[in-house]
Amino acid sequence: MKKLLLTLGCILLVIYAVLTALSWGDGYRSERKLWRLNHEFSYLATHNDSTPDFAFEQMARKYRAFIQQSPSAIFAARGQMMLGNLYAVRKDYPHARDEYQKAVGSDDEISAQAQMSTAKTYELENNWQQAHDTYQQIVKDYPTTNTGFFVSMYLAKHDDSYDSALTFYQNLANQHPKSTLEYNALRMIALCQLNQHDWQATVQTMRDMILKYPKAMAIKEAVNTINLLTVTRLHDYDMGIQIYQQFIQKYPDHPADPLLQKMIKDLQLLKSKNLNIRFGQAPLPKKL
Amino acid sequence: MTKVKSPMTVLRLASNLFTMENQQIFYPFIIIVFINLLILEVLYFAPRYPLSLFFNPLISRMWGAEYLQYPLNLLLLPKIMYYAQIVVFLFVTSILTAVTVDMIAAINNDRPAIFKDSFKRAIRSYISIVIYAMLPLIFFQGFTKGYGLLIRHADKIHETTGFYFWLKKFVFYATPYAQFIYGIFVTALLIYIPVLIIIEKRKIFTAFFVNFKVLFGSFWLTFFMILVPSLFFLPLLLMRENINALAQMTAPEIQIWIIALSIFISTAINIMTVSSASVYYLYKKENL
Repeated sequence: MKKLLLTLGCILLVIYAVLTALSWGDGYRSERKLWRLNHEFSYLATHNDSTPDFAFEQMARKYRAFIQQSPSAIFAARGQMMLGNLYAVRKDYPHARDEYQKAVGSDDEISAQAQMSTAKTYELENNWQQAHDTYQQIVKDYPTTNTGFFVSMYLAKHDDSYDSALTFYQNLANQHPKSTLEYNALRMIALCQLNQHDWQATVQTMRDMILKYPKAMAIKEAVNTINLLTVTRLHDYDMGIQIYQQFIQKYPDHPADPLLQKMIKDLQLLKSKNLNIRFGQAPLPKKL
Repeated sequence: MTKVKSPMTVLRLASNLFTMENQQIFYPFIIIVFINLLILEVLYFAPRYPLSLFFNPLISRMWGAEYLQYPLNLLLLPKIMYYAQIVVFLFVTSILTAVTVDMIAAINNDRPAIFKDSFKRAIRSYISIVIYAMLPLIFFQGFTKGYGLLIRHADKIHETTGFYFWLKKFVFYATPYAQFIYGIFVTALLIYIPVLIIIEKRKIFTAFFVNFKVLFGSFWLTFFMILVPSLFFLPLLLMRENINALAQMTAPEIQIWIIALSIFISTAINIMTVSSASVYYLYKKENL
């Protein structure tokens, strides 16, 4: 039995050693180390007021050591971002910005996040002009990153500048047809049009979206918006009916077809009764 | 032979068989633990190179790419391990448990317990044993559906105080413990099937019906005979229920240690219960 135990134990150890050796340098160790540092930092951040400066300095030293030792540029950049966050938590914004800028580099997503964090520090200092310029720079430099994609809408909400956001998302949709980016851009276009109270354009964008991307989520959003706008704002039942008919014609066996058939019947009923529904107080969807 | 009056006597008689004189009786336990630990090791390294080449597309498609990152990969580990253990239980653990039954029968007949010989004899009933191993899984599927219905009904309770509120709480929080008791109940109902397949060379369907004949008049003895060793699993169940808090206090790697510990404990419980059932069956056959 001892022999069997020894043999099986050795097999487990050898496999562990081989897999560890083969996976050496694949970034997992850096990922784990960074997660542990972030875990430690999140504790300090939640006890910000009662944490002495030296504890933060010690944390900063740990991050610096990690950045220096990290074999992967991505993890080093993530560490750099966290170092920036550490100074931002201590309200040392100029120092935080210096650290964020060091994270700007080869990875577009991290670079966009670093610029976004930089802009946030300007906002926290009530320097909107500088923040605005930095946000604009993100839109220009990293339009297709997750961060860059939403910055335009953020600016539009802040400045009520939906025209420029609309142009931005329309350009993106045109440049990246048949992609997730186009789908997301269409949603943002509809949101801009909704905020501009351009009901007809919103309905048309929603129509384009479901005809191009017949996903369950898209249909749900589109049906809610189209029903609400065509009935209460545009009083044009035919518009909704036509969109749903177009969809059924294009996708004859789609699972959403029975729902859309029902919508057509309901809209036809409203039309036949010649109801002029005016929900003056009807809340518009804040987001799609 | 000692007179069997209580479950504790049966358990003591069964545990007395596990001595260094019959050291090969430990082999099934060692092999089951080894195979499970090997799978745990492979799954732990799944998101890392070179195993990531095979596993990453699978994990991304089934659970999402975020589960390839630390520490979410460790949150997913118990789930994947559970599925792997079902396969191991059906095709490996079941036959090795049957080997234990055969070795006990050999010892009872004053023959030496030789793993190789018992394996050769048990493998002849492999199909019946695998079908037997499927039965608890089917029963569990039924339980999961039934308990799911109960949870859905409980979810409709909107009271925030009083009897129904506490009933709802009980239904929600008692799930793992209800599963535990149900598991013991199902095991007690089916425990003599492998014993009959191996010792009496019965086919699965005959063994299924004769099993109830054996159970008649001794169900509660059998139930407690299974309950007592199963109680060792309760601390693990508590740990699993509070895994998030434990991981926060220690490290996300605690998941691996809990799985490893549960492999040892559940295998020992499984071997012990089947051994006790074999001992009790042999006793009943010879004395009643």
